[in-house]
Amino acid sequence: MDEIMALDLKALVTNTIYEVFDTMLSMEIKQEEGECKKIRNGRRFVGAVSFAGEVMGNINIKMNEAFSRIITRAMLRMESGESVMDEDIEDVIGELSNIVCGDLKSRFCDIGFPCELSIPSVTSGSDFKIESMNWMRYECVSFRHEEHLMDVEIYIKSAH
Amino acid sequence: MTQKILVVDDSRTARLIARDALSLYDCRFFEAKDGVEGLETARREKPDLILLDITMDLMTGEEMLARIKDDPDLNHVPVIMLTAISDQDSIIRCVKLGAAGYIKKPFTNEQLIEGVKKAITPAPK
Repeated sequence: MDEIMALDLKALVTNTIYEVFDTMLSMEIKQEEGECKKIRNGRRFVGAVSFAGEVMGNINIKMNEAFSRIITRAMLRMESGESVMDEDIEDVIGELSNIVCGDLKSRFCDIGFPCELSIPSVTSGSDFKIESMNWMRYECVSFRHEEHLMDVEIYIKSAH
Repeated sequence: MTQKILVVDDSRTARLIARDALSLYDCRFFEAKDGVEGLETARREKPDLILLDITMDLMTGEEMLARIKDDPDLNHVPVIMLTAISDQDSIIRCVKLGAAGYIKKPFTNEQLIEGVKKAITPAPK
């Protein structure tokens, strides 16, 4: 597991997020310096994808409702009058989570830790907390677009 | 001539982005949300090209690709993998199964159009 522990997971995730926001959303987003902001207040959406094989773990992408609506409008090329349904948001956040975790999974496979991805799941609400247990490594990166924040959490567990 | 393009992806977002990227391309677009529906649509519509995700419920993209290449009515149809997965083993497996191209998500419109043109244009004799 030394190779996995040595990976700069924050940099990998940050590059993928920048690429997605640039190519699919044409939106500027910046990594926030310092500790993760931990989005815990108000209604929010969390996209989660797990990976399992020679390395196990999961990625959670969290954002508040307002930001999730902005991203969904941009990703689905919606007109200003069109209403954004929860199922639209869930599909967009699911795809975003899939792309971020897919890139990470590919890096793991290429350094000798083959693993498979789960189908993305998206949870929404205002009174819940998603946490992984028994992890070996945890990283969290916050991103900012104007006043909106998004957290990407990475949990790594040993497969053995 | 108008080309028929089938996109198979469990994400409506991904299907819409592919469709949007190819909106200026002369094509009729068909969509399926998994490999099972994808095979049914492919057999019914006989597309000129299939854009295929890998990670899907019911039947993965790799399974669907293998079935397309085993089907005498479909095995001539070029398939481009359109996926977030880009490790060397996955790419090699798909190429061995007969994929005509491999485009990593996220992709630009230009990358997708280029890949589609390359797969549909017949090789010079």
